[in-house]
Amino acid sequence: MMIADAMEDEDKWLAEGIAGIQHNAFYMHRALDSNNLREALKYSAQLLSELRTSRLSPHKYYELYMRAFDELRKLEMFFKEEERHGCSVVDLYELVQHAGNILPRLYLLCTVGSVYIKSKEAPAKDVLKDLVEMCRGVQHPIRGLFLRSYLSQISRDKLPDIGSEYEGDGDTVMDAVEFVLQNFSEMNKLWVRMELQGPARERDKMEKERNELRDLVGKNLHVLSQIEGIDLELYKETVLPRVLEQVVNCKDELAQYYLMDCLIQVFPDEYHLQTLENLLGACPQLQPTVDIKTVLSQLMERLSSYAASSPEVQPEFLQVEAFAKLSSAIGKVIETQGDMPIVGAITLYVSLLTFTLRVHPDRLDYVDQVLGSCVKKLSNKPKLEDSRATKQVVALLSAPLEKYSDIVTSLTLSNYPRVMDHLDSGTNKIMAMVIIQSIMTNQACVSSADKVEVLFELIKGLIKDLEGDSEDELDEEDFNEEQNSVARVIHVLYNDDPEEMLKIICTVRKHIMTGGPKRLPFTVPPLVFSALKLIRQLQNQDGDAGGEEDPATPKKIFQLLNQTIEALSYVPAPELALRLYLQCAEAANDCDLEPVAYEFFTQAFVLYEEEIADSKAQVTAIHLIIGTLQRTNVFGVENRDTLTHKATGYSAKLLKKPDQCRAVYACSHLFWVDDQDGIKDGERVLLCLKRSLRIANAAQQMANVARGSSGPVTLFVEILNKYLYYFEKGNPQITSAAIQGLIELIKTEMQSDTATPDQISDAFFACTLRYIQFQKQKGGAMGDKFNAIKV
Amino acid sequence: MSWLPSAMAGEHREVRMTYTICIWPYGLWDVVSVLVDYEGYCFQDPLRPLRESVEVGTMVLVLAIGDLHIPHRAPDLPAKFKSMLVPGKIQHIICTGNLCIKEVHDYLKSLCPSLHITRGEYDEDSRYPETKTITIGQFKLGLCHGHQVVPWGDLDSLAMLQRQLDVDILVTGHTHQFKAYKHEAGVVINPGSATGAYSSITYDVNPSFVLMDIDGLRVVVYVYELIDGEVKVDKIDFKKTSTATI
Repeated sequence: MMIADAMEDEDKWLAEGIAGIQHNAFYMHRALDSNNLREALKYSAQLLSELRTSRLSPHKYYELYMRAFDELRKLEMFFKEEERHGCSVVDLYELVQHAGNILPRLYLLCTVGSVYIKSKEAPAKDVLKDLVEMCRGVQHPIRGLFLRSYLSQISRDKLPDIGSEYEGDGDTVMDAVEFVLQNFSEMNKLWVRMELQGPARERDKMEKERNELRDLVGKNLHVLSQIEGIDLELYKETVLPRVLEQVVNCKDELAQYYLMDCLIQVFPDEYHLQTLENLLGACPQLQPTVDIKTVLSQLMERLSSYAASSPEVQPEFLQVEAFAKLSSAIGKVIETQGDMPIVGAITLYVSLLTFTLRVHPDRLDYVDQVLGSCVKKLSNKPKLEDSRATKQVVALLSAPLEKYSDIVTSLTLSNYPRVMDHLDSGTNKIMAMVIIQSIMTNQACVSSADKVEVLFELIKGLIKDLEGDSEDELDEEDFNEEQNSVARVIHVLYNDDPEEMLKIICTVRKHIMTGGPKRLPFTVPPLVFSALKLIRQLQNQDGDAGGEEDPATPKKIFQLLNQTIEALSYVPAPELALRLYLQCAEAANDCDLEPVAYEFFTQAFVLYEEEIADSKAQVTAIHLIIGTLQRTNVFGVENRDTLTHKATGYSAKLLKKPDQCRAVYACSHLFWVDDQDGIKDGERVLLCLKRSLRIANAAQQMANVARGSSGPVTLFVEILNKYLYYFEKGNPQITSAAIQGLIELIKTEMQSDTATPDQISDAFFACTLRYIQFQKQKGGAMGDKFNAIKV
Repeated sequence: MSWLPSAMAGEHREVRMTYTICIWPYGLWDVVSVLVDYEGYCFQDPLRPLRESVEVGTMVLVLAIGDLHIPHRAPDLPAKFKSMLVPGKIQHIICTGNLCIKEVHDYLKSLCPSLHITRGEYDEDSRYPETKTITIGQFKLGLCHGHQVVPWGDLDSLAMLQRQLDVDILVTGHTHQFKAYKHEAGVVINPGSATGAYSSITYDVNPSFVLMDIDGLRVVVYVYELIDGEVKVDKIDFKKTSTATI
């Protein structure tokens, strides 16, 4: 209620004030119209008396002030005319000083003073000096601020600036500067004093009101920046030291922050660059509570835009050692502001880093230096817990990644991993992901073992369990995504030179082996294929390793692969391991390394026998074994027999009869390779097919017993197709009679009473018969051959 | 049914022309830019049907893709392919398998919701079937990864699978080598590996995929292959006559 009342009262007072102004203005206008100077002065003084109130807030006072200001403009016009009418301005200047109250007197004096300067009857500097001194007479903060603001307003266009009409005859730009600086100092003192007045409970309100008045003070700096005559020399020697002196000495938090910010905004960047030392020197002297990081961030932001504006200014930055100065100033600020939260300090480093990345992109040492300072700041705390600070650290670490699309550049920053060490494990992982994504999007290539080492140091949070990782927080989807990212990045660790590539592979291997059973299934396959690619590269070369001490040979890499894949069986991930062993076996075959290939097959077979129990998994595995073995030609008779014997044995032992049947007929291809030098053992092919036919029969009988109806004839049609295949390939053991018999068998089965109608098998059989028909029609040798088959 | 090559098709793989820039057939390419940039092809302008909007209604684009092996053998699809494959252009995706991870599945799904996948031996999702048949327009398509068909990549063995599935077009993978055969019973297509993944079967794999434009009784197969950083497109024409001989 009290606040509402107070506001109501204020509105009332303002209305009264405005009424007073309007009333007196009316009589003043009449006096002006009738050219009555005395009356005009009397009413204008009364009008201005309304500004003597202390009851209005700055906001309302401003409204009142503007009304009076408008009236004073009219009075000024009159004074100008009066001068022409013969009343000298000197007389006027004396005359207005008879006003009874000091405030109206000074407003009138300023108004006449403005005309006085314009008349050039006295040097501008004398009038200005007189006015600025006289205004000291008002020491009430709000009234004084507005009075001086008025003075500043009416004198703006009358300063003896270079090129101005008021310059010369002893009036120099120095006088203009002196005048504005003095007015500025006085206004600032008034402004700061507001803080000291008033009871403590109204502090907040007062603070708000003061904030509303800040632009009146700042305006002076703006006027200064508009003075043409202030060159760098004058700015450096006079303006800046005086302003800074005022800022530092006022010891007021609000004023210091605002004025520093204002100073940076109004003067040109070039001046800041050349006076960095002075400007930054003031920072540690400010009150500890001043938000200096925002001020400095803005300064750096402006300077880096300035650097970007033209390449010509670049040398200036080096010449004044901008980075060193900023860096040391930031260090001092962080040191002196002891209770600055860690997030503030890191924000400052982010700004400095952004600055150096924009201004000195080629100076990696600067980047590392910033990171180093950050490490120093963080070093007394083991892990960051403040989430905002963590965010800033992530920003700090991301900046170089964004700037240097070549990740390798960031890898050379020695302090980079040290900063990462201060992140909690969750953020550490996020950062590692950012690094990987940056590599992937830039399609960067990490091409040396040393760099790979650094990279893995950076992303170690993803590579292995770190201390403090808690199991239960683990989200499976996140984990998979992370590990897949690691798998992806392995593909870009690449060098054309086989020696270096082998070193890279060994480095990767060393790290991923520490990943534990959960990570290995993700990370081993890319490593294996990376190594297989290297083997293929070597295979194309002429095995001449040059004088290398430790040459990269396929044999050596295969050993490495064998140990690597073996780790998967402890996971356990036998199915994956089996596939990888088979890939290696085929690669060894291509390299003509029989024992190696045999070893890999053995490993695969052991896994099949001991680890793969699921019947579906067995079916897939057996097809992969047969498919791979079919393609291998490196084995001598004995080894080959052992392996094919094993494979056919496994096939016949599958759980389901149809699977058995299919695997066994697939085995027939192990004895018939359709190459020039391929093995062509027609007899054993036939044995396989006959065996699969027996299994198909058994399957059919089982179906009869179990369900009372025979199963589909698909298996028979499949075997028929295999017969046709070998018949076509010229296997002498496969006769048209056998095929004929099979066709009859299928037809009988399909027509039997117990047959289950099955469209799929029917269509399959129809297609097969059509194929035979097609081969017959082809004519030639093949046509003749097929003509022996009746359908 | 019997297969007859269309008037222009030759004995095996019919290569009409090779671009050094990527061209989408029909709807996949912005019409205006093609008219401006690629005026005057040396063969029938694939955009003509669209402009005259006669056959558009019956035309179906099917993306055949497979053996990506992400992230085991390749980090991702080539960027050039990714920029070409945008949602909304393709009606069906048939994928032979070996994606290998869910991320890739989701990516394909984002291109086109009608997604058919068969299981490759490295796929983490064990729910994909071993084989699948899909009917699109007047064509029956069969899909299978191919590691089950020994000897791997052998045309005669694949032809047996084609008879078994009773399909016009059989799409398989595993060898990482693009192939398109026509034989007495239809067409066998292998879209190759979309990432150019390492293969024990094929050396020097180029990333490739296939786009089938199925229109009435005709299917035009566009093969997109990334060779030395450039996308090359081959076009193969097949025609089916519906003279049933059963």
